[in-house]
Amino acid sequence: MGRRNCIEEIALSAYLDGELNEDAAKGVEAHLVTCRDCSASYESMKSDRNLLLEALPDSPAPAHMKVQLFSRIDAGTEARQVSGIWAWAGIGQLLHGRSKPWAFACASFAFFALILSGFHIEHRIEDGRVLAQIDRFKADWVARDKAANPFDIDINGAPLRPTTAKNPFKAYLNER
Amino acid sequence: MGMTEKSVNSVSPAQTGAEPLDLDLQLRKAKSGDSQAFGAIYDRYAARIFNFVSHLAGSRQDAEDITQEAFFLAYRSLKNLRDHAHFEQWLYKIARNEIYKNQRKTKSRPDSLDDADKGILQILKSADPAGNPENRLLSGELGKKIRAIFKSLPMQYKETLVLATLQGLSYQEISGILGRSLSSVKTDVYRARLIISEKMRKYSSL
Repeated sequence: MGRRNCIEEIALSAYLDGELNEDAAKGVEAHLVTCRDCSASYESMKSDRNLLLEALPDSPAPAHMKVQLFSRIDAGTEARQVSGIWAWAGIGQLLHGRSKPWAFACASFAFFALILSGFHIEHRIEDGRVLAQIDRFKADWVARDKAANPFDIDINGAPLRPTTAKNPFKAYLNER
Repeated sequence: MGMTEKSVNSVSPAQTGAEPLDLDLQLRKAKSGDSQAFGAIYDRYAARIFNFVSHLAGSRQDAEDITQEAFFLAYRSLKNLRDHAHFEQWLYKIARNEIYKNQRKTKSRPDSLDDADKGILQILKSADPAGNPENRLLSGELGKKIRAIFKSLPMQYKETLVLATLQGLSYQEISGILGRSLSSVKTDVYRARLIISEKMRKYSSL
């Protein structure tokens, strides 16, 4: 502005928007009556604002927007939908912040139970495989034993037939 | 000179006397999952939010998508709203966040005045320079110029000007929505007006 005693344009702008308090607004009004420069600035500002209002008029919200919005709300879905087993498990509801705690707890329990039962079954299968392998080794060993073992001792060291032979070294060992 | 003038294209629902209690009731119902109550709230604010968004978004389709998303997010987050008296500000904030999100996606923000000026010049040169201002406004030539100038404003000024001039909100309300100080809002409104005024004079000879 630069004019002595004149009102700053920023204050005129606030006055135009009705943002000055009562005293300040009265001061501006009184000044505008007497100052041609400030009055011209204010009128120009007001004219620009009115042109802006005319150039950018309000329009009603399109009706289809409401239909689309409420179909989304009613369906309880979002653009990124969660489907299938995840939807059933309540994961989608959890992501969207509308989870029912009991539903989610049930879904979590079912999920972990499924995983644990999977492990268990796999263990049983593995155990069966190992036992079958051991049986095969035993059978092989006994067969080879029978053919080649001169002492008739089975895999556990037990005699295949009872023996009455005394240990010839026993007396010697006792003497020592 | 008369009293100070508040320029309003449409009156804010919050500014009409008997409604706040009603809004409070509707919000309580909507919070408990009553979508009909939310429908009433939508009817009340849809036009204002749509116009706010459409002045700042790139296209009408963007404005519709953003407005719809803003109301959808508002419905989903209603339980987080503690102070019902600030519902309108809260709704504006959600809509504004969606506008910025959309702009980041499309990267079509004309924040550079120089770049925007080239666009304005093209529009203005194509406009008919003959005829008096009233006729030109009626025929849409002047309106086209003003819209081009408005579009060229940086987002910071544009949103402040829309809220203050076109939506008729108080500086206090705007400060709450934009998260800026009162003096910053006052300065931004003034600077936006100054830029528009300078450009109107600059291009008036074309």
